[in-house]
Amino acid sequence: MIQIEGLEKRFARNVGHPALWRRILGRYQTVPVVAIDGLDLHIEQGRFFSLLGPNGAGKTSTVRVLCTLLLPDAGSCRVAGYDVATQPREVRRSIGVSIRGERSVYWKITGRQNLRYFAGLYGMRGEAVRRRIGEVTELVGLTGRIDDYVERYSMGMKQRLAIAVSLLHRPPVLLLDEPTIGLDPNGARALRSLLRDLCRLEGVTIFYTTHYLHEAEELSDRLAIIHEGRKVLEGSPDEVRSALGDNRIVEVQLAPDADTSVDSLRNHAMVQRVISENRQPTVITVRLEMKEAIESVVEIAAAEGFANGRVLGISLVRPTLEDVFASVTGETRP
Amino acid sequence: MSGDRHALPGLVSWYLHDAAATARRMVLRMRRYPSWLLNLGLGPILMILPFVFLGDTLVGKGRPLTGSAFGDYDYGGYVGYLAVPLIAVALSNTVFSWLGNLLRMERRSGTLERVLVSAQFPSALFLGTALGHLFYMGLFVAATVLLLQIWIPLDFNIDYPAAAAAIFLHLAVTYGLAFALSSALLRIADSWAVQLVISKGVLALLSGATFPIAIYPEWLQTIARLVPFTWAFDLERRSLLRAEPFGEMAPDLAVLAGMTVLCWIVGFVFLGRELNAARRTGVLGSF
Repeated sequence: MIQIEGLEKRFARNVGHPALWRRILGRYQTVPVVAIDGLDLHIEQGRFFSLLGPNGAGKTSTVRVLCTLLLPDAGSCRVAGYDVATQPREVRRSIGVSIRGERSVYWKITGRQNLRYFAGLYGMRGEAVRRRIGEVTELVGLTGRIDDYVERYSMGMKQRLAIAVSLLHRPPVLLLDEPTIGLDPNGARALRSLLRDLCRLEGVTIFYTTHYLHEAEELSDRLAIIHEGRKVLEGSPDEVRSALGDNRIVEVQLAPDADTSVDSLRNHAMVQRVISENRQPTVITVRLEMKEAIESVVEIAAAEGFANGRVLGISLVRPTLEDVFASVTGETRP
Repeated sequence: MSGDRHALPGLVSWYLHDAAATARRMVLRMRRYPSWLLNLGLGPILMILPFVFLGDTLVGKGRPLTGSAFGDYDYGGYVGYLAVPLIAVALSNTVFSWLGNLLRMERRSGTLERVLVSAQFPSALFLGTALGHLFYMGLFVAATVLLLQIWIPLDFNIDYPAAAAAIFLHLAVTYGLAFALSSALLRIADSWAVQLVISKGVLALLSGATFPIAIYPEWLQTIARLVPFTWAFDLERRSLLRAEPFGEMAPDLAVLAGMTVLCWIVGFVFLGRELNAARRTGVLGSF
């Protein structure tokens, strides 16, 4: 349903702030910025696919290419069988898009007027519009508020309206760029439930970018992690989790005044990186990625100088998606 | 989900539908901005009244300056000569600022990308916005009629078919020119301000808004004849003040119609080119 092969996209970033006449004549210096660098993805129909990566990794650029807002520099991209570069109209008819979430709807008109407008742009007419607006409104849980001005909606309601807009024309593919940003936990959970149902019950193919790894883990059939425009891992959540191998993640509990111990852990020869550091009043929990798999916590505890301080506990833990993400991107937190 | 998709309309029908949907949304949205509507209604009066009274004082009927340069045109004095183009300049003020700002306003509100991935024809956004804007021109026309009929004693002598054609083409060419300039200047931030300067400062002066182009040197008259407003103003004066019949004005109306079509074509070409360039360079979000 979505095929990306060797996708490349580069931008030219201006050096400094060139004068107007230089910009008009095109006489100013730029530096190339690689947004997507040889990306390959294949997403089958009816699957939920998540694209993960730190800021600037190329997630949004990929979504923009898929929804025809950007032209690829190299490689090919097909959505629902149509090429994004040569058949943009056909692609646009086949996709529902949520970019910029709650700001992608008109706040000065009502929810229903928004839906009618976009239904018109999707080529829908007459009774079908009225019926479909009723369906999507119910689907996203906005039935009681659909005739209110959007400016009076909460952020979550605006986000749900944006999703409703993208569902109006029954697209076989949904492209969602960080749709749960800014939502409260209940709103995010409700949206995830809606998306899961759309994918499982109605066979919609969903391409989803997010910073929240637990969402990707919960929803995805497959996911990929990209870093600096390149794919570094792809697979089912279980496959991606296992990519790090067993016995490489260690959780150490330290006494709250053990700052020097945290530093000694960070610099220890066996430690690849500190994945996270959680400070509570009674305990500091440090999650570590080891350079090699270890046999048991006894091995760690025995390592000279490993925790030159007040260690309250050591345990080997199963890698989470966050651990893998930190390992392949070098980021401590996404 | 994909099995129950609606039947798709033909491309022309879809284009018009895109434009109509945009026009409807524009009308609904602008209804929420009463200050804009008030501004639109008062625009002609506030902008033109001082000029018209000044002109009436100096060169109106029986006034000291009547007869020299303007008497030959038999437009019932300078006030009649002045009223049509000045109202037109006020009209182009609102049209140019709206169309010139269109994509930038959509970007600011965050809806630009959503609209571009939903609409089949981005240029239909301009047509739809022009139509939606035109809906509110009733206020503008009402204010103008009030100005002309009650406060300023103009001697209208109208040929209605010719006047209707001239006014229609004037509106069409104003929106067309605004569309063409908006598209051509898309890369320039605040291009709407540039357009206002061009429309009010350059085109209005060149087109004989305030004095006949006959007083220009030959070379400037040639340039002035390339400006659509020159033809629009002349046609409106002839049809509204001298009741020149449609048949006699037909060749000049055809010229203005040609210019109108050209403006819209230039707009379509430039918009397509600029949007494609933006899709290549990724500057869509900078409009």
